[in-house]
Amino acid sequence: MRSIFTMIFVALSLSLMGQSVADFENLNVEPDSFLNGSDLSGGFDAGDVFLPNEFNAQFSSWSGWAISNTTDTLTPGPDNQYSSVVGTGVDGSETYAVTHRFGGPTQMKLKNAAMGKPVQSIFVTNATYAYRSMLDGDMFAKQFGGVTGDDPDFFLLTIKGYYNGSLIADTIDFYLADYRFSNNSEDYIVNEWTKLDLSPLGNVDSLFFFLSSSDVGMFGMNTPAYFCVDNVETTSFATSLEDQSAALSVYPNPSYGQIQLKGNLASNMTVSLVNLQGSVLRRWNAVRPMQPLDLADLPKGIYQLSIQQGEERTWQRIVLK
Amino acid sequence: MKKLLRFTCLAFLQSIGLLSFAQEASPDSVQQDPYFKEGQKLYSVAPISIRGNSSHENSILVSAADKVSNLAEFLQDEGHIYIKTYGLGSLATSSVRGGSAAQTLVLWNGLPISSPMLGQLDLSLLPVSSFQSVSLEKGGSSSLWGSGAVAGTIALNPSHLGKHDLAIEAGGSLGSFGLNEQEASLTFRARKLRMYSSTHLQRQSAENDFWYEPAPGVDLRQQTNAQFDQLSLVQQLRFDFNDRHQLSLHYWWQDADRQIPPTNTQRRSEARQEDNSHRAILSYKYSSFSKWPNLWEIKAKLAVFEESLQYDDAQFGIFSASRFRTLFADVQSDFIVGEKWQFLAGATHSFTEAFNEAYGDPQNESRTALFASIDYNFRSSSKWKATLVGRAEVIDSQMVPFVPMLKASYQLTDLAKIRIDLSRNYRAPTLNDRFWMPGGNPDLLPESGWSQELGLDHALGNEQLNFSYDLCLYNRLIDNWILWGVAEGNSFWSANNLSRVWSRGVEARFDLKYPLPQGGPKLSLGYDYNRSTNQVTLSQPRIEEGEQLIYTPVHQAFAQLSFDWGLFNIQYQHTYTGATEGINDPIDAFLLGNLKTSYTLKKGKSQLACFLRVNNIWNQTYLVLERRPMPGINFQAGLHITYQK
Repeated sequence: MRSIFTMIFVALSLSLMGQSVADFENLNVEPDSFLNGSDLSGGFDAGDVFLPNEFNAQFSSWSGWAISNTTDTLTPGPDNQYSSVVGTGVDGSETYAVTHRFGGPTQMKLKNAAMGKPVQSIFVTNATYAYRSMLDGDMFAKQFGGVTGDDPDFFLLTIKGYYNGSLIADTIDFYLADYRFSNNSEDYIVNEWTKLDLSPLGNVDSLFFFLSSSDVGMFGMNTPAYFCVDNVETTSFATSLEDQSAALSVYPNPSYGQIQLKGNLASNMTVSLVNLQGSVLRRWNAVRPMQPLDLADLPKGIYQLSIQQGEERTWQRIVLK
Repeated sequence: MKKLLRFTCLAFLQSIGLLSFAQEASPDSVQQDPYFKEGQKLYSVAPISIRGNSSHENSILVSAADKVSNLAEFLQDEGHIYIKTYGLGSLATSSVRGGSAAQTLVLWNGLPISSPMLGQLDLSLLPVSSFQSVSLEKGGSSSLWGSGAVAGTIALNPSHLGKHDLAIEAGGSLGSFGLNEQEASLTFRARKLRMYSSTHLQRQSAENDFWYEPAPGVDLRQQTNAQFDQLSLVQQLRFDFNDRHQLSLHYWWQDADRQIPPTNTQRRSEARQEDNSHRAILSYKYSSFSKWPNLWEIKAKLAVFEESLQYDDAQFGIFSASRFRTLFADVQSDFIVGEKWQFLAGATHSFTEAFNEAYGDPQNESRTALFASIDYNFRSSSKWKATLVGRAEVIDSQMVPFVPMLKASYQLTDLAKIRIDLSRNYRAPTLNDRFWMPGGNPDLLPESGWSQELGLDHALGNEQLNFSYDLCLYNRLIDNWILWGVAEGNSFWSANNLSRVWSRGVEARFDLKYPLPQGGPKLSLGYDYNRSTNQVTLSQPRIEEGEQLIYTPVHQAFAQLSFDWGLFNIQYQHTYTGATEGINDPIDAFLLGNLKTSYTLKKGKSQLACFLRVNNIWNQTYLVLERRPMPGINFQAGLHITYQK
């Protein structure tokens, strides 16, 4: 009962803030099952987003988006193509989205009040199929790191936005796997839900998700072109052009240890550096925009930067080379 | 010994300017031919057909030391062609003169045994111990053999019947990585019944769990999931009703069960594959040789080939079963008119029914062809000889373009001959190309194009030192090359006539022999230069115009030194395979050294042959296909006992 009140409170709060979260729970997927567009509906509506789907009835193949609550985190191969490597959605929720397209990007369309407004954030993680393929290799794709373990392999998600028919210059890059570190112990394949801040893209009508991999040959990318999405947070408040150009970002990223915060920032921020295990490694109080932050003494790897501005907290994923 | 005998005969025949005939009729085939009994001259006795069962050039006898090999290994060692192998006991296909695996046709008793579903044959599944010799003919000959004979033809020649009243053979081999091979054969003739029989049974198994170095400085790793088990039975029966009528039955059963090993960037594999085949041919031959040199011969065959393939990968969730059955009816007639003219006319029909879950319903295909050839001066002493062949074929009501072939030679001197070949060749799309869902394309056109070849064969030297060389230039342009790619707007691969491939090259062979009474040393050198380039730019698959085909080395070379002394033979071969491009990564060039030696002990009607092979003697780390590890130094040794009377 208490959790219901909490959910209602969060929903009301989000509504009052003009925000909406597409968590796909509304699609009523049967337990341990999936929707792959075989009803030829052409896509899925959740919150203020629409996820297009193309289903080929002749070959029973799909492309674009599927909705899933399958939980198999162990079985490799395409038979388990609908599972996230976490086995659930964000925070143990049942339902999440899986995307796959052969040789091209997948599109997510905004609708209703969110159309033409920023996407605040999105959670992503690997699909079990791609995760197991990168971890162990398969008959088509290589085990990341190669025979020596030193191959600088990567599986990169690039998110681009379209606004009024134009491609937005800024992009969001996120490594679903990164084996480019000189110290192989820092190599990683993402196996948890990770929140990405998409507000730097500013106002968008739709998002495009591109996958690229170091394991690529004449027949295209060998790494299975799958990943999973949950909790797409949209807003009904547009960002002014001035604001849009001034959205928060960390520069440079990846870096060798010297970073700065750029964008429309408060003059007094609290910044925390958190490792992938959730431990707070550093904390800076009263940080000013463009103030250099020195991380050079930290091991190379992936970290999360928490930026607290008043009541608002933003997360940025950073890479130290 | 058989090789030595063959070489001696060929050297003699070459010296009298009859090399081309001698190569078409091996000594063994002459011995069993009834015309030999007529007492005619050697070069005129055999009813040589350009479309004979064992009448190809470059017939390579299977020696005792080769019996442990599969066809892929044998062709690589003895035929010096490029074999694309996935590793010990794994899938292996050929690339002849830059052609695809499906552009080299494999024949057994004159009928194609390549899979109509895949268009190719896994050469690692064919044990050479089941055959007396293997013929490799490079260059196109679609006019004779139909679809697939674009880059070359490989003919598996069965044991000849009737040489002995009784022959019993048994042998076995052991080798590295758990190799264990046994074979036995029984051949006999019942003179009164005019019946001949040959039965050959072979089994082979191996663990193939070799250790390999994944990369320089990286810990050795042991190959896993690579076990191989195979059984093969070949039965031949022949009844000679009289000197004119002959009825033969050939049956070949094979069963192979093997694991599919992981790549070197794959932690483990659970894949396995089972192949099973039954092939049966009923053959009838009528010969009329009433008045020398005129002759008429007719051969008719009925055959059924049935194969199944089961591929399972529990780890990857793949369970794929496919099977096909092909029925053949083939008839040809040879006419020899005088000393100069030989005519051949024939027809062949095949009907294939194939099943795979990806086809949906079972699919079938019928092919009907008419062919004819004219030989001029084929057995006369004229310096000019020529053969003209033509073929018209219909595949499922679609007419294949007429395919002609012209072969001509001119004897420059007694020991030098120049030859030219011009031919049109084609390869029909496979059933997978046409019917696989998704991506199959029923409207595919055959790959087709023209080939030209210019050759010079020259023998030099004297009784103390024999030297000969062969040079060959070739050129081939194939249109409508079938590739699987992603068409605009599609999210799956599909088959299309996407490319045009231009292959050209040089082949050079040099032989130097110092004859001694008991044999002597022999040095053979060979070099192949092949440029096979895509002539169109494609985005998916990503191909640039002028780019060399993947897994097609530009340079290949070998040096082979052998020494025969009586019944002892030792042979060392060093090969160079040039760098190639793979699907994802380049493949480095590599050098390999192989040693084999054999000794035969004869006593009365029995003989015992023993052999030892050392493969990759310098323990080189190399790859033929990317991510597919190959073994280091390895050994094979065996015994072979023969009793003949």
